[in-house]
Formats: sequence, structure tokens, C-alpha cells
Amino acid sequence: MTTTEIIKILAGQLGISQVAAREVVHKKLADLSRQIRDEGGVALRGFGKITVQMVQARRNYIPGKSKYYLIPAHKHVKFSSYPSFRKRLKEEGPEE
Amino acid sequence: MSIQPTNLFKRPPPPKAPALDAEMLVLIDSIRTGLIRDRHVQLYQFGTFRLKWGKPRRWVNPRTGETGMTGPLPRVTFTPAKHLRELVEPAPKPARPLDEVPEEEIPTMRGEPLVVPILQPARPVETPAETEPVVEDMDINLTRTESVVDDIDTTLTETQPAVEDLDIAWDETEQPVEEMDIALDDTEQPFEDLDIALDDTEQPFEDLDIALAAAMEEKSAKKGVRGWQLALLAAVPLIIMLLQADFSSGSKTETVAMPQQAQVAMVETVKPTAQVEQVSHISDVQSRAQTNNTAAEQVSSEPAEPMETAVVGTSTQTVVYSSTASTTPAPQPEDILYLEPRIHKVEKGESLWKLAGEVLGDPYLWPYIYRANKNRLPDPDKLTVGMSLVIPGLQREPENLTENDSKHVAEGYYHLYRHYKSAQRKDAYFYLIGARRFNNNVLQSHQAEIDPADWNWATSVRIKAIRDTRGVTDVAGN
Repeated sequence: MTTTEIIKILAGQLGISQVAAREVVHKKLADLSRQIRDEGGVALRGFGKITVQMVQARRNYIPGKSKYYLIPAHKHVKFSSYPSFRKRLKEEGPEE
Repeated sequence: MSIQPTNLFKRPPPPKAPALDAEMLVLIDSIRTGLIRDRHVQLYQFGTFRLKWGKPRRWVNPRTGETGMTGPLPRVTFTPAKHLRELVEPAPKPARPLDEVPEEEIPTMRGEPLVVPILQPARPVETPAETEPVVEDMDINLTRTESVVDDIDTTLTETQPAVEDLDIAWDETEQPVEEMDIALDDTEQPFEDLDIALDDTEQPFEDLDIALAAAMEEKSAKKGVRGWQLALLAAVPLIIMLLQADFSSGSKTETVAMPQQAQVAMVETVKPTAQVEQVSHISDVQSRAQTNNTAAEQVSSEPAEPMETAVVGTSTQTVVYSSTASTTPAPQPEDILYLEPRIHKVEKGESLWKLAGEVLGDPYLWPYIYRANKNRLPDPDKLTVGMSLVIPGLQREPENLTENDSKHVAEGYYHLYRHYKSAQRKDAYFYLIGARRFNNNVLQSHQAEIDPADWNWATSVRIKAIRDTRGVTDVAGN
């Protein structure tokens, strides 16, 4: 599923045009991104939370270059789903 | 609201997620629906959600020993888009090769021993004010030693006359040296006498050789070595030479002159192995050799005389050897053995098919092995590890079997048909085709014992495909 399909669903459920729905989706995603940057994370009820974590510097071997590289400390955006959503997924079960 | 003492040590509950507006609710709901339906939701300039299912696992409760299975567990991952990554961390540091990174910046990995810098002990501070006076004292000492050196020079000049006195003394001693040379000349005479004495001692050395030979004879007599054995030992090189000459020349005969004793020994030793040698009458050979100057080659070409092993005791005897290889017939192609029969011990993973392929060179010959081991193999499909199997030999290579070998192979196929027919296997008739392919006569000889339906099928099927792959002539003419 892509953003375009979500826009169509949003337009159908809210009863607005797809152009308006596109603006809504872009605005909401931009708000989420800003919140992640400023507050270090965002919680989406019934779905999960997106947090920013710090990853320590480490050494890593790059086989293609046959060299050890220093990966500096950096930020990592992580998502963890809520148990309610996982429970719903279990009920649905994997599609064969 | 009263604060309970136990509540002080409890973690505060996490803040609840803020209430979402209707648009956000619809957005999240569509993401959830998309994940369940497509397992993949890609949001522009935000990121990608993916749903993965883990494998079902078995769990054990170590306390109760209860076991069970966990179903496939869902796992939702999120990969941020480049736009979001740049928004979170505008200027990330790039990865650098470890060689270019200063040691202070290299992080210590988990499990790596911590390198502790070794602290150097502090050196005592030397004040220059204390050392300078010492140097001055050294200068004073040096000036004092210079005067001592001057004294040594004066003593050296005083000792020089003594050396000259030594030279004079040497000149005085030259005279006695000449006298010593004269004394040496006087001593030369005794050395010449010594040479004469050495010449006198040469004679005893010859006597020693004789004594040594006598001692060896005595030693051999003590060991019980007989005279003819000594002669045998002496004749060994001659025997070797004769044998080599005889084998190298094939049917040629050679005339060799040798001492009588050696000939006796040679005849005694060679006679038991008599593949190669036949000793003819010596006087006859001698007379022929006299009439014909070309000696033994022409002599041997004449008809064979009655052979004798006796040797006449003349000083020079003649022994004639003739190889029997010339009389044996040349090996026929039928006698060439392609593969010798052998015993094979069954190892793990082996089957008759595999054995036939590896040992005989053609896996289709596996009924041949079964025929040779029919009594010890109740089931050809089941071999026991460690059991010994007879691998029959082949006269020719498997692509060009002889009539006899192909007959044996066909019989093996027929025995297999009988075995599988008694085991009520439906494909037993298949082995009749193999018997027909290798030797049709074997199949026809057993026609009365074969089920008519199987016979009809086996004789009606064309075996062109098999024949083409193996190059075997179709005996049925199909």
C-alpha cells in the first residue's frame, strides 16, 4: 500500500476530494516528522510508537572493502507496535 | 488524595497518547489495514512499515515441564525515509576507515580487553648547579694524571737501552743455532735406517694376508659352510649375469665359460626354477661350437637334444640356456582379464547398483553381482554393513562383454525377476527386459518358468532406447 491508496481511502471515508485528502495526509505526516525530531518520538494510539534512539559508535567490518570502519554515533528512528495491535494481527493470522 | 508509602517506589505510569483527531484516526486505520492486507505500507517522505511473521516455536516451562507451541508471531518494522532521517539528524558523520581514525576515538568493543597505559616512573630532577663543580674536579684530576704520563714516558726511554742489550744477546745466540742444524744432520742417518726397517716389515704384511685367508677359512669351517656353498657364493654374480642376458635376449642362448665348481653350483641352483634353462649335453655343444665359430645363437636354433643336468669336469665348460617363452602360445584375446574377481566388504551407503558402477564400471551390471551372491543375499535391495560380497570378474570391459559374461549378467536379471515375482512386485517383468537385452538365449531357455503375461510384455517391448545408449546389439532383432 502506498500514499496514493491511503489518500483514496481517506477521501472516501471523510467525504472529501482526493486533492484535499492529499493535503491532509502530507500535513499529518509532516506534523509527525516534526514531532519526532523535536520531541524524540510520537505515540499513535492503537498502533505503536515511533522513537528516536542514540546508537553508540562502533567498529564494523566491510567485506567489500576488506577494511574495518568506524561507524560514528548516530540517531536511529525505531518503531515498536503496541500489544493491542499485535493481538489484532494475531487474530487475523498470516496470509498463506 | 493520600500518598501511600508503597506508591513512592512504583514507577509512574507512562503518559497516555494524546487523543487523535478524526483525520489522524483514519490515517492510522488505513495504515493498519494496509499492513494486514499487503504487509507493506510506504508513506512518501516518511518511511515504510513492514509486517513480518516469525516461525512457530516450541516452548518448555522448566518449572512444570509443560510444553507447547507458539504460533507465528507478528513483527512490525519501520524504515525511515531519507527525508525523515535527514530531519532527525541533519549532518550525520560518515563512516571512516579505522586506519584513519585516531586511537582516542576508537571505541572499545564489548569483550575486548581494556588497554591500560603503562605509567613511566618519574625521573629524578637533576640540578645543573650540582654537576658543574664535579666537572671542574675532573679537570683537576686530568691535569694530575698528565704529570703521571710524563713520568711513564721517561721510564720508557730508560728501558730502551735494555732492548738493545737484548739484540746483542740474540746475536750471541746465533752460533748455537748453527750447531743445532749440524746436530740435525747427524740425526738423518737414523731415519734412513728406519726406512730400511720398514722395508723389512713389508714381508710380514704379505704373510698377514695369507694368515687372514687362513683365518677366514677356519672361521667358515667353524660356521659349517661347505665348499660347494662357497663356490655357490662365488658363482652368484655369474648366475645373475647369465639370467639377465637370457631374459634380455628372449629365445637366444648364450655360451659362457666358467670354472667347473661354479658351474656345478649354478646347475644345482638353477635347475629347480627351470622355467628358463635347459642344460644340454656339454660335449655335444662343444663339438658344435668348434664346427661353428658363431657359438651359441646358431646352436640353439637347431633341434633340441635330450637334456641333461650333469656337468663334465673340464676346466672350461659350456652351458646352454634356452628360454621356454618361445614355446608358449601367444595370449588370446579371450584370455585377457579386464577385471579380476575380488571380495568387497560392504560399507555404509553402498548398494549393488553403486558397487557395479564403481567396481565393474557399469551400474546396469548389478544383477551380475547379485547372481554371484544370491545365496547370501536374501534381499538384493538390503545390504548389511560389513558383509562380504563376491565381485565377479570380467573378461572384457563392460561396453564389450564376452558371450560368457553377458550370459551371466542375463542370468542375474532372470534371478532378480524370480525374486521380485515371488515378492509380488508389480515391476518384476522389467528385469526380463534386462535379461533379454544382455542375452536373449537365457530368456528363451527359461520361457516355461516365466509368466505368459510377463513374457509377452518383455518380448514385445522395443529396447532400442537402451540399446542406443549402451551400444549393445539388440539380440531380439528389434
